[in-house]
Amino acid sequence: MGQRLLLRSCTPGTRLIVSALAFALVLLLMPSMPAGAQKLDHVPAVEALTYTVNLAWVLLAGFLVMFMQLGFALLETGFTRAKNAVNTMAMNLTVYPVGLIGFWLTGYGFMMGGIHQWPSLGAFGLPHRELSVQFGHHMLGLIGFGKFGLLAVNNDPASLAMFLFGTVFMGVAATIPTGAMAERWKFSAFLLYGFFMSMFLYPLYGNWVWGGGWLSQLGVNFGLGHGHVDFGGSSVVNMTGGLTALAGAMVLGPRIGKFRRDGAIGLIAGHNLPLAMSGTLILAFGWFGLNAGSTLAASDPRIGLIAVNTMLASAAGSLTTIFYLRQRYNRPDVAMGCHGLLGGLVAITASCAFVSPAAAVLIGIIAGFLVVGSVLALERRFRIDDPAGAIPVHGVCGLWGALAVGIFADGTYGTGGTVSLVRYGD
Amino acid sequence: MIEGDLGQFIAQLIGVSINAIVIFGLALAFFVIVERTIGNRVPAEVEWSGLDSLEMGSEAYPNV
Repeated sequence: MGQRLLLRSCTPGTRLIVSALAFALVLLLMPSMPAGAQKLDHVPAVEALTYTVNLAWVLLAGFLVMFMQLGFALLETGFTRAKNAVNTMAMNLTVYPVGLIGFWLTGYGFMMGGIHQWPSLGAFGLPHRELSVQFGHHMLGLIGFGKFGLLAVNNDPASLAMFLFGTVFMGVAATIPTGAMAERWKFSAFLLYGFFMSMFLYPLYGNWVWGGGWLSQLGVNFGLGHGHVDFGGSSVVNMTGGLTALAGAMVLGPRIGKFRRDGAIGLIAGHNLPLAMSGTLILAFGWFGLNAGSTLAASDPRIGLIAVNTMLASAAGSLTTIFYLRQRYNRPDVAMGCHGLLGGLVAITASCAFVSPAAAVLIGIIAGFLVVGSVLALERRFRIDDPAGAIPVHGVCGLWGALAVGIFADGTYGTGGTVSLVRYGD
Repeated sequence: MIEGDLGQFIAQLIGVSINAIVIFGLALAFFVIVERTIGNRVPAEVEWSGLDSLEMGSEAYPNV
């Protein structure tokens, strides 16, 4: 009672801080995994070294992906106007801490709660729980339910590394809509979105594809190949972000002056193209982490092909847009060149481990055409305002990338098992 | 598919369709609910003068 009175007499800000501290204290006192439970004493030295190197690989790749937050920030700020530069940067800055806390609280538990081992990282028999429904003789995983707040796995190095790796992936998905909804989105509404995305929406589809959920089991249950396969996140990360951006841009409506009453389309130029181009190159750098890191193993020789495919597809996407626009409008539109580079990266992400370099170039070329086509269609036909091109690049190319797995995968990698075998050895 | 496994392509097709229906649907529902409660969009005058000065309270290029 006394505490309640104390809280009531405080300002809302103080009350929030006090509640957060009390909550953290409760979490501290809850039972957790005994220290040293996952030590590698019982395995041979070579095996233990492999696990450690793989762990370092996942962490290093995660650090690269984290840097993509800056890439998105510069890209979106460059493509928007000077009077909104702080707001656009602030959304990209804030989505990181908001998403991190949200993913720590519930996101990771919903997404990876059902995973019981990360074999390449030396973690076996982790506590796990997947809520499933029965469909005929099959169990369809709907959502993970465990490891909330990292309580049950707080001494398992693999689970912690995978938390970091999973969080930065979620950060990429969560920051995509800020580009499509820039220059008109209320900051409080954006903060609310940040928690919704990181705590529930991204983890839901993430669980279905990467957490052992029902889409990953389509192969085992219904004989459809290896189930829905997405190596680095064309659908899980990019399409989720792109379609959330589409929904947001539709509800939000266009910026004032974009679509005029007489049907003309206003040109709202970004204020700093060099900034946007820098952001694009930072994203291309971080993308190596996204794709090559997704082996979850430095000991997997496939990382060479993955990295090469990643860079080839981005080059093909960028050159396609630049040459196409030069041909059609007689100028090499560099903004579109940025979109094409990113479109190629988005499109190769799902299939980067399963296709040949020639297929990667082809996937990138098609992504380049898709970017130009969907940017124009979105603006002229559907009259949806997307300042940073997030919907064409991440939504459309993400969809294309996921389909490309089913078209170009050559069967030299990950055969003979389920999808989870490819990614987690589950 | 080129290698002859149509099942894999169908699995991919199901995966992206589910994303387009469920994720897009849930995101749309979220934004509509926000629209009806606190609102998604800044007032027109904030948009005219820029979100930096009125919504954020600080400008990126104050001396330009």
